Amino acid sequence: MRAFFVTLLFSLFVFSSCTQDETCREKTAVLLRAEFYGFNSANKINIDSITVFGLQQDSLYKNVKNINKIALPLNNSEEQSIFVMNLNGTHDTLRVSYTNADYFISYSCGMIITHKIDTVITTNHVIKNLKIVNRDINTADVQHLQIFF
Amino acid sequence: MYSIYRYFFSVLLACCVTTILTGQEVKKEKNDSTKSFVLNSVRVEVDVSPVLTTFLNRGDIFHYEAALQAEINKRFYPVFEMGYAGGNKLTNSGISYSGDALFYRLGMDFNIIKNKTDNNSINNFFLVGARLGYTHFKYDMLNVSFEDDYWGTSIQKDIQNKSSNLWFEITAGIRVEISKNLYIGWTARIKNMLTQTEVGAYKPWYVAGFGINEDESVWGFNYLIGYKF
Repeated sequence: MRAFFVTLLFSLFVFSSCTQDETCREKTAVLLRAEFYGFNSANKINIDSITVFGLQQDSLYKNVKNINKIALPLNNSEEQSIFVMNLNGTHDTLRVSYTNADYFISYSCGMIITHKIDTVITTNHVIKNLKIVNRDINTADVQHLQIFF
Repeated sequence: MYSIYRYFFSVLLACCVTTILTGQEVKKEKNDSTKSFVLNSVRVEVDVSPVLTTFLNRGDIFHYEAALQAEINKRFYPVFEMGYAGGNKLTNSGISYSGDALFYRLGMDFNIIKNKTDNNSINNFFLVGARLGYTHFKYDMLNVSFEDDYWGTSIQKDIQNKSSNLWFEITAGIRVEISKNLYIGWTARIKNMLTQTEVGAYKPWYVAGFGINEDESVWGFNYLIGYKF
């Protein structure tokens, strides 16, 4: 009888020690990933110097040298985000329209907002063309947009 | 995890086969006399582990349950378990969760140790079995929020949702008769959620009768006091 209660108390101690890990270990960043290509080739190209910022926001990239891809956060409270890109001293504007959706990851990580791209429009000072490769923007590290120069 | 399941299923299968074979031997000896349905006893059990676990869980979870188990033909132990459980938790992401519900489990146990005589005064059991559990309830998720540091925006929502859950359990446990008709023992369970939640959808933090709902499989333990009628 005494052995039973000792075992019971010990077991409770052991199993109560198996507390849940509440650390968030999932990816939570949701970014529009664009890569740069030469207009007449399928090869990626590096931009000598690029500055990118959301309209009326701080810089996301500031005079970054020799870069061939960028990752941009879309405004979760709106269905359109405008980015200004300064490419080797010339400005182009990227207007991204999209829909938002709640995405619950876990109680450790909480909720994120994912996006589905509707349209992407750009000015054509330096940028020649663009192509939407993947419309679903979530935590997956995949290419969404190809920008041709 | 699958090897654990395989192990448990093997034990369960072996148990069933042994039980059936034992039954066949008895039939040979007693001809058709054992074919009839005999309700040997009914045992009522109460889970006493919440006395400590509620305290050890710092009040995040409460869980109370009881069971009714019949003994049929001294071989089959169908069981109905019912309880009330819930969770109130401020989670790591700042979500305040609350939800509670009644839950139900139905299943069958098999005794894999044989008592030496049919009419001995002390009966001990080593039970292995399976359960199907179900619960349906409403839950609240308050302060589900998302901060966007770059665009300087924030989203905050209070969610009220419903959840229906079906799960499968494999169980093992012992019962010791400590005095006439009075039993103590424990049951260990591995529970596997059958209800699939859509990826990205809101779901309850705690499912009554199942446990914390982060993983598809969870362990559970009950410490029981029972009385046989």
